[in-house]
Amino acid sequence: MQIHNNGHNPLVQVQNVTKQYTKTIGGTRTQTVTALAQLTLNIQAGEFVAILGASGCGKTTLLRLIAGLTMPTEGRILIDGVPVSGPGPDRAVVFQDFRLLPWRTCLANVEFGMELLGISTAQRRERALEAIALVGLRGWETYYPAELSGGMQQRVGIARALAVNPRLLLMDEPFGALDAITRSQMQQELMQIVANAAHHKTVIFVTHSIDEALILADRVLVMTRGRSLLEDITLPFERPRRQSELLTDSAYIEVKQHLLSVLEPESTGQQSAPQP
Amino acid sequence: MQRSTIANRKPFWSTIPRSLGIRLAQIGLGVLLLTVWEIVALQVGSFILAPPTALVAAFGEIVQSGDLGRALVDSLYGLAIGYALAILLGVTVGFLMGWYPSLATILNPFISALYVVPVAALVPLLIVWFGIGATPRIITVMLFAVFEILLTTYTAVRDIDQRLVEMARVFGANQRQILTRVVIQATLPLVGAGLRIGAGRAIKGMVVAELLFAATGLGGLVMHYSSRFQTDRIMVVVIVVAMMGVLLGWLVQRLEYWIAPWYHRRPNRS
Repeated sequence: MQIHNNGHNPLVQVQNVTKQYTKTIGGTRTQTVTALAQLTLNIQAGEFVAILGASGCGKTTLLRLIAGLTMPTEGRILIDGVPVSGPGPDRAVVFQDFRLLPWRTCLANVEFGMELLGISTAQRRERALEAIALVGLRGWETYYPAELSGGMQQRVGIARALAVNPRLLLMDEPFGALDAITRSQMQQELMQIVANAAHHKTVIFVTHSIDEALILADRVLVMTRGRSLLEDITLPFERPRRQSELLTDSAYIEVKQHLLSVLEPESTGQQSAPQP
Repeated sequence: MQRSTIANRKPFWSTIPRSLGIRLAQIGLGVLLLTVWEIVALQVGSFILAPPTALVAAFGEIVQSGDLGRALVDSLYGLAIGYALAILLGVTVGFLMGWYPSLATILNPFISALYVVPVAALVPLLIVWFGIGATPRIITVMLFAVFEILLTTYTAVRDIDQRLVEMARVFGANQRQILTRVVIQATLPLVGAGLRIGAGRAIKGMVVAELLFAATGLGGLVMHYSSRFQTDRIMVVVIVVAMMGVLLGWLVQRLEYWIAPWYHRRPNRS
């Protein structure tokens, strides 16, 4: 594979991507749904990008396209200048619903991706233990997922993704299934993890929480249903940052107010009716 | 303070460990059934219904004479081979049908058709094809057990959690790796349940075969004793068959624990 990136090209290029899929309604009628329309955006290496939007705006679809789990109807996606044709070891996904293998211990779950890459047992073990330490689960290696809390399960999910050492970490509402306190704690820790990871990670983080996007990201992409990309805001704060400091920052309040007003019609207005 | 101690007073049985309590309840129920049985048997007479106390003597007799031992060996032979064949065939075909949906579409009507055929109705044909040796008995056991095993395996593979499959794809798994690292493990608990149902069916098949084909095994003993009106001995054999069911069910359950310990280690159950 040829490396096109010479430090100037974006790591991820989404070019004119349209994604349509056929949905079955009531088991009989079918309908073509446009999840993304003519979307174009670039993400630079090392960026932490939050994709923000209400449900149904196509943000998860975008993540799945970048992951290579589904192909665009039109347009193309390039990673390092190479078109995406399927999943690859340069990308790893952290899922909202964790998706751990219930018959594998914490350690074996973290090793899963490396196993598929054909990494030797000894190296696998070493890297898995490293990743487990990074997410703060040292001592829990022999536990099965069902024996761990939701927050701990997602730490395993993050460790599994980090262990394959991807260039691009794709996170699909990773803290959406957690309670508010755990969620806030995990946000702080994710910042530390990304800062401490061996290589500077590029992260695409899908969320519907304005606060979460503002706490974590360098850049916030706002998506809405139908119009796709609505806003592209680069945040003026340094990373890693503390939530408590952020809350009183005037720039933070200003951006938050702006985002609230941008997303408002969607949250308070009538639900856009499904097109026949 | 005093009020709280009153509120916290628990019934005396709460001091017994739960597992011991369950065991005691089981034994109690057994004793109750035996007592009722004994009383009813004394009322109606031991020919119609032999009382449990008489069965102990009858059991001793047929063990002593070697009848029971010989019958058990015969029965277990047919049962073991027939059940093993059912597992082999059921799990293999079920897995293939779950993995290749078009194969399932092709086979489904045939399996539905075979499933409703009462195996006993096939007996004349089986005798014509295989004579009256061990082969038709083995095939009967297999036919009794195979469909439950096949259908549960098929359903388990077909309804595999697609989210786990997708996760494996993200981390670069090919079809073979998805099969060996996700699908097989994920379906083990359900396949185990199928094996357990199949085990009970296999025992029924075994007795039916022995009654219908040739007077061998435990079914043969039942025929033998009924021709002599030894109802107490018939009862003993029936109990031995029931015990086999309990034992085989227990063995399969141990096997399930062994192959899918994670499934039984979930702490949030009960």
